[in-house]
Amino acid sequence: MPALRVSGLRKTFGATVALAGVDLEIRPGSIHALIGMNGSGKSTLIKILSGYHSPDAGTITYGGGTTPDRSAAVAFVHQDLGLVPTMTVLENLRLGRRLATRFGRIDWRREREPARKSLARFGLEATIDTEVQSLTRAEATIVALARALEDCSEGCSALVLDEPTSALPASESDQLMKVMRECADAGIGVLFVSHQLGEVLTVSDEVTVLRNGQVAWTGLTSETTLESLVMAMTGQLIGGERGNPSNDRDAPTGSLSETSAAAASVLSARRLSGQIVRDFGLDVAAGEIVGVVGLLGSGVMELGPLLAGRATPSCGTVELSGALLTERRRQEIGFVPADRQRDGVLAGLTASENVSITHRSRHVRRGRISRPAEDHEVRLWLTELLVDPCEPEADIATFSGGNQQKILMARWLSVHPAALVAEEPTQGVDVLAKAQILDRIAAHARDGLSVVLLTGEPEGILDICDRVAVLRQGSIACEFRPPLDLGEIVAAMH
Amino acid sequence: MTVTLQDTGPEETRPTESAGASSLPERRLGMRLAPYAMLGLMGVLILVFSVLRPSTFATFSNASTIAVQNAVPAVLALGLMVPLIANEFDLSVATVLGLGSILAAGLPHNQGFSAAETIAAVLLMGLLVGIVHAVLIVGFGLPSFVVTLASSSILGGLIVLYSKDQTIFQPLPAAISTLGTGHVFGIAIPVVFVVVLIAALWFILDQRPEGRLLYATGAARDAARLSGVRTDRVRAIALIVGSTVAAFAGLLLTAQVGSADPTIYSEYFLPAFAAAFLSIAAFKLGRYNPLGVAAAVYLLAVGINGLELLGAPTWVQYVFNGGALLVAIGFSRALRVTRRVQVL
Repeated sequence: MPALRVSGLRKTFGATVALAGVDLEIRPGSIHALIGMNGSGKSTLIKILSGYHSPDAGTITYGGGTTPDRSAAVAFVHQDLGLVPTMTVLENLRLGRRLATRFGRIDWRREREPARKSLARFGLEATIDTEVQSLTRAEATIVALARALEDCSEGCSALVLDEPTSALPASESDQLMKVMRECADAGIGVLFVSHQLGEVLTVSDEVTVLRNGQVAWTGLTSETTLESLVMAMTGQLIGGERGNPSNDRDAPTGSLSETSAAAASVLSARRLSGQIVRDFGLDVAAGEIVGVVGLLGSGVMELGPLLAGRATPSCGTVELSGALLTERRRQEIGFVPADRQRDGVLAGLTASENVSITHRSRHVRRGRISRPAEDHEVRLWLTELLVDPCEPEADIATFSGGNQQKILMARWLSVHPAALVAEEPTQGVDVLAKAQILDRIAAHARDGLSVVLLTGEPEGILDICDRVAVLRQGSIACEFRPPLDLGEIVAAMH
Repeated sequence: MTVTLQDTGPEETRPTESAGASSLPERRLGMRLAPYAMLGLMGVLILVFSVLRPSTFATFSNASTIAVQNAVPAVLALGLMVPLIANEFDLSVATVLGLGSILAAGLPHNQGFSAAETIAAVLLMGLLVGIVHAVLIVGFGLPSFVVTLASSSILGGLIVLYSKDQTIFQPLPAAISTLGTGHVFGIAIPVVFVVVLIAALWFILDQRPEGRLLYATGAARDAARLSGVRTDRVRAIALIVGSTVAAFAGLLLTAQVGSADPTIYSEYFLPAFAAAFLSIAAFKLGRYNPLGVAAAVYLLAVGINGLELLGAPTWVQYVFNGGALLVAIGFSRALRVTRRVQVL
């Protein structure tokens, strides 16, 4: 009798098939890991389980099919936890419930005891009066888990955790893993989504791999290896042995970052450190495209602003053409941010104004901005980058995601920077625009532009990279040179 | 299908693949006239009131009264617009106007200031208030809404302190009175100030790179900063300009009226905001702009003047102003929605 069973689950969004008939069975007392690349259908499956989406076809049964009410049998811990940071643990555990009252006031003494009990189960009873914001991330996750268990009025048969460890520092995930094991030992079927294959292999009993909306592999964890999981995720064989991936198979020059390139390097990072990033070193030569890839929590998202001089590192330096990067010279490094809407797009301003913001004095004629001169130049850039429709006078907010990204690229390319740092350059961009963007980046690199592409999804950028550095726990774990093998890189990320 | 680009520079422009579905000339006439809808509305109001009250409304003297009487609200709204563009609220502009007005009336008599000293002191007061705002809002990162709400109350206290809650009615230095009541080439000087201010703001905001910085900062502060805009400096300057212009509006008010009432400033608060927000719906759709502010001030003025001549009681103007503010906000939301649909 499975704790949770999914069979024949299908879901399409428009023309995109997110899930193409997925079967999944979570046994009571077992920890089941769900893995897959971005776009494999993982999030859709989780959203269907949580009731956010309803499936096009297929069935979900829980607790042996005896309860029609999902929330009574399945406990859910969402990625964002859903806790109120400024309230205490006790208040959070009691949030949204009917509280015992005494003379019209909340009877906290009566509410306290059951809350204390459910915390004690995980060794957190001491935190009951602590505000959630002063807990560690792992503790907060456990509080959310305790609340989810309490909410199962008829006894929990299954527990689902959506990427519970992706925001955790490595030191804290053990604590959470232990709690998950305790739940399983109590007879609950635990399903968790993870990107960290190492953790999947150590903690889970069973694994299901999704790829393109289908189950690519499912089975006992003890019967699989890291390599075969990666192969199932990417659908590709891992080329060669994974022993020492930084060994260059093509050119026997050894690690480029320390030797010959240092002299001719345009953009160099020396012992760069931030919150997660530690002692990061990189040399990018003129015309070189370097991919830096890493999972969420590897520091890859922190690295972009540091490399581009847009954030102050806790220590270390960035050099541009051999000289320390000063605030004045920051404009010589283009920066395309990951959060396009917040950090990139100037909504309400025209495409033309969005491009020319970086070279705003260039078109001043006799004290005034010459609109024809400005529009003319912007139009050339938009044409070069294949922005379609090419309308410099239209509000940037009216363009599609791909066009917006091209406009942001034009913003920097038009000032002829020495280097370009782009985070998630093809995120939220359709297939055609993606190819066009990568093509333009490669073209400008051929003209001497140094490029660093930062991403959590290496499959998007591999085609144009001259080398790829894998970031793990804030520093470069290994480096790859062409021929670049997606499987090897993905395996190295985990 | 290939479409040749319509702009200049034929050598460099390559033909591009284009759906060509939404190029500018094909937009509906209505969309092209929309920027002038407010002028049209004003025309309709003028026409209606002229028909209904040909002897009182449709006269040259009434028109010039409206122009002169609304010079101070116009200056205030134009000043308020500057921090609004940078996405900072300044709720204290009306109170700064009040303090400027009281100081302009009191300093020459009580402190024996000359005309030049008085003008300098009033402007300096506005500058100082703006600097304090900038330090608290930009330097310490406090929300502008709360900071200016607090400073507004503090300045209100200073007004009572200096005026002892009495209207200051003292002879003004001739130079100051001239600012409010004089004429240049037959045009009232306050109206000249409005025109000069509109022209100056239009030039800076629409024609100079500095204007771009201001609009970019207001549109998305982080994005502007990452593009190399020194957003902290831009916000600070916007707040200082707003306060200084408001103090000047106070000076102009006293110069016009010849005395200073310590409570009058609250009347200026809402019309200034209504006009600034309404400017989004005129000339440059979706943006605060100086011509739009001026059009909105005079649209509201014409409406209220006409209603008064029709015999509407005093309370109607408050309802009218409040209604206009709501309409302005509704407009800006609707504009955002339709523009998005239009090009996609």
